[in-house]
Order: sequence, then structure tokens, then C-alpha cells
Amino acid sequence: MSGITDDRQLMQVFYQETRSLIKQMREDLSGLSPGPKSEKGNRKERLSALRRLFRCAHTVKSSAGAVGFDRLAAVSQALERILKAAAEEKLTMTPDLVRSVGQGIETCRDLLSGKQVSGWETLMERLRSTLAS
Amino acid sequence: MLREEIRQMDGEHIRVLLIEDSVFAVRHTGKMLQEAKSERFDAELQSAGTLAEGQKHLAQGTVDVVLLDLTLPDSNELETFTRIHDQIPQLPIVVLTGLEDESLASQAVELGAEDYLIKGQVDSDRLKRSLLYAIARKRAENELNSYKDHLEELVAERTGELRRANRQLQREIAERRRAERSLRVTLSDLEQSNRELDQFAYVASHHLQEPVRMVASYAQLLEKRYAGRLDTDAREYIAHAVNGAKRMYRQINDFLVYSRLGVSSKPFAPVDCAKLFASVRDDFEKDLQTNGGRVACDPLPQVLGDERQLAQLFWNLLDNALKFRSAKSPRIRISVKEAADRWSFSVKDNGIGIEPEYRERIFAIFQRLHAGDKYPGTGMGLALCKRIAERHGGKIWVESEADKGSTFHFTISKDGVAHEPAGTSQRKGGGQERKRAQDRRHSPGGRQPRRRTAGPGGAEREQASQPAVLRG
Repeated sequence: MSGITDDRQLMQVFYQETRSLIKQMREDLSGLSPGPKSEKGNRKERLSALRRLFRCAHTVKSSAGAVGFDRLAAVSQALERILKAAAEEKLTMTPDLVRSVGQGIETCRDLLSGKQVSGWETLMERLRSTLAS
Repeated sequence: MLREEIRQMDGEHIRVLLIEDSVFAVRHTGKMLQEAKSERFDAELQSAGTLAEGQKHLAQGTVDVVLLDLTLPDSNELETFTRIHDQIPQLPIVVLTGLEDESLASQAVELGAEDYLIKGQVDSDRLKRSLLYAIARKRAENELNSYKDHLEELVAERTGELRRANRQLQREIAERRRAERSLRVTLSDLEQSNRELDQFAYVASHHLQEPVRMVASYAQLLEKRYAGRLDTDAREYIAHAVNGAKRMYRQINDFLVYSRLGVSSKPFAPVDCAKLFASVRDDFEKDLQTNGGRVACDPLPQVLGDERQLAQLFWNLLDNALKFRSAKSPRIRISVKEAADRWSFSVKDNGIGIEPEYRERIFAIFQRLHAGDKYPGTGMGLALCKRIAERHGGKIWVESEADKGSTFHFTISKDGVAHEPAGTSQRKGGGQERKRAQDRRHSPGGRQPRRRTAGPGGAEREQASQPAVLRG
């Protein structure tokens, strides 16, 4: 897989797509957060958003794995699981959870731009434990 | 079968449809296929971002294998798979999943996917192999299904064919039976006809003999008693009448002998031809002394046959050889050759010979080559020889040229079975008929002398008749 990073064009596509996916996730998540917008918003819309979130996380995970961005892959994988469960209504998106997911997304963004990430272990721990319960 | 499929795919141009909504994934896959490209592997990538788009693409029918991401915007997981699979059941599908979703992937395989690949863990080699095997497996599977589907059809077809062939066979059998029956009827008619003919000939000749004998007797009586009281003319007339009567009697008698050949014969027994010929030769001793003739004879074998008839055969041939002599002293030579299934005799003379065109006619009854009294005879001699030879399973023919002498050949079968024409006595079933046909083929001369009825001015060779009363 090391050969892939040689391909600059491919990497450009990677960065472009992943950035836009993360952006989409932020938007969808904010739509779920309690706020001026109604919590009890259309169930269908919520599930749709959750599903979108899940798919974005899924794609980020796959692409990150393909180019060897292991941390990015790990985080997005954890998010993917949570979001899948939520989309299948096996998990409730509590405000706490929403916050955790939001943090996760931010981490993804940071990792993508090459920024230093602090509190990596804690975040991962938190995300994983969510699923355990 | 799979190995064969893969071998056949060598170098084939493969069209891959990737249904995947990530642009990067599509580019990444394209790159891997490019990496895997060789003279034996040549794949082209097409893509669709949604299930609907994918289905539209598939409807064009330009795809060899589908790479299917199960997380598409407009479809859910296994549903994604079944919808595509239902649309193109004959095409192979390889599903793409995340690590988490291996159970999902194996479910897809159970539902009919050929393979699954874990996104992010695939390299060009893995991808290539997966695609090739998926196509090969699917082709093998399709062929099998096709065979299964058509098996019943084939069986029905074959059964139909067999039934038809059977019916045809039955028809042929029935046909053959009919032909056999018809043949048997014809044969039995023929037998009947021959029997009647023989009877007629016998009865006719027998009844004719009596009045003829009476005429001859009284004419002779007239000659003896009244010779003194008759003038030259009258004596001449009587002489002619007597001659005529004698000739008529002899003719009828010879014909009788000929026609009774089958009826009065005995079963075959061993015959010593050497002894037989010696005794026949004795009959001509006086004749030979008179004309300075000599008869040389090979050692003759023992054969199976009718002694009286064989004696008649030799007698006739020897008689002819002497009768039709040239100015030279007669030199006659009897020789014999042995073959696996027959004896071959020949009687060679240095007489007047026979023109080639008459070589077959002479064996017909009532045939004479020489008019009137120069060479007297009843025209039955050789016909009788022919009938006797045939009865002994053989043939008779002549090699000759005018003024160069003649060699008469005849064969006698070693099978010891009397060969009668259909209907006469001692008929021994179908074997006889076949034997005659075989003999025909074996004839060294290659010809079968044909019988003909007497023609105008027909010639004959003589056979001296038995009854002493009318000899001379």
C-alpha cells in the first residue's frame, strides 16, 4: 500500500473527498444537537441524517485505511459503529453522545490536516465504551 | 472446470463495474487495476455512484463483473446486493465491505455473491485474483445450470429419437418378414413347377417311346421279310423310315435319361474314378484299335457321387472325343487337379475343335453343331454331362478352337451332396440354392453354359443310346 502515497493525484482526491465528508458530518451532527431546531424533529429526517453520518464515517474510514492514515481510520471506525447503531435505533443519541461524536469528528479534521491531536486515548476510550454499554 | 475457465480468460478484456459512491475509492480501484495490468490481465473500470445509476449501467449489458459497495446512498446493505443480483443473475458480483461487516459479507456470499473484499485491505493482486475467480466461477456455474435446465429437454429429445428409431426398425423387420414370406411362396411355386415339368417330360417321353418302338419294329420287320419282294426304291424308302424311327427312339430315350436324372438317382457314395474310367475306356477298345487312337489317363481319385451318372459323363466325353476326330490319329488325354473344395477333370483331344461362338450353345439340349448324318447324335450328350456335373456340385466348360482340338473341363464338388434344382428330388433346403450361387462364382471359366431350346438346323453331338435293340 505504500505505493499509493506516491500518486499525488490520488492523494489530492483523497484529501478533497475526505474534507468534504467531514464537513457533511459536522452539518448533519449539528442538525441532531439540541438547540433552536426542534429535538422532536421528523423521525425520518433524523434517521436519514444518522444514516448519512454513518456512511460518511464509513467512507472516511475506508479511504483512510487505503492510504495508511491509521489513526484517522481508527477514529472514524469508532464513529461509524456508534452512528450505525444510532441509525438502526439500537442506540439513543443522548446529548452526551452527540458531544462525543462531535469531538470525534473534530479529531478527524485535525488528523486530516496533519495537526497534533491531544487526548487521543481518552477520546478513543470514550467512544469505545459507548458501544460497550 | 474452473481451471479451464480461468485459462480461457487469459488475456481477455474484462469490463468491471464498480458501484461505489466514494470518488476516491473509484480512483483507488482504477489505480490498482492499472497496476495489475499485464499481457494476461486487461481490465477496464466503469463506475456508478448510486444503485439506480448502477442498474442503468447494467441494463446496457457491457459489464463482465460487478464490484459492489454495500453502503450506497440509495440502498441498504443486503438489499443492495439482492437488487443487483436479481437484475443480472448471470453476472458475478464481488461485494465490498468494511472490516466490521464480514458477517454481512458472508451473508451476501450465501445469497450468491462470488466473493467479498475488505475495503482498505485490498491490493492490486488480491483485486485481480478476486475478479478473475469470480468470473470463472460464475461461468462454470452458469454452464452447469444451463446443462441442468436442458437436461430434461435433451432426455425428452433423445427418448423421442429412440422411439422413432425403434418404430423404423419395427417397420423394417415387418418388411423383411414380408419379403421372406413372399420368397418362400415363390420358392414353393417354383418347386411345384419344376416337379410338374419333370413329370410331364417323363410321362411324355415314356408314352412316346412305345408307339415309336412299334413303328421301328414293324419297319424293320418289313425290311427283313419282304426285302426280296421289294424294288430298289421301296427298299430305300423302308431304310429311311427305319433310320428315322431309330433316331426318334434314341432321341426320346436320351431325353428320358436326361429328364429322369434327379428322380432315379441314388444317394452319393464313394466312387473309384480310376476303375470307372478304365471300364468306360474298355467300351471303346475296338474303336481305338480301328483308328489308331490312344488314351492317356492321370491317376484318378476317389470321389463322392453317383457311379452310374459319372460313368455316363466320362462315356459321353470320351465318345465325343473319338467321334469328332480329325484326320490325325486320335490322341486323348484325361487329367485331374485337386482344389480344397473340388476335383477338376479335363478331357483333351486333337479333333476338329469347336468355334468359339458355339462354346456355350453346345451344352444346351437339342443343340447340334453339325447337320444331318456327318456326325450323328441326338443333341443330348453334352446337356446330360452338364446336368450330371451340376448335380455333383460342379461345372462343365470347354476350351477349343476350330481345327485345334478341344479340352473339356468339369468339376466335382467334394461336399458329397447332391445339388438338385429346386423341386426335384433330394432337395436339401436353402443350402442348395446358396451353393449353386457360390458355384457360379467359382466357375473357372467364369461362364455358366445356358440352356436353350432347339433352334432351326441346330447341331448336336452324339450320345450312343443304351438299348441294344436300336444300336448301330
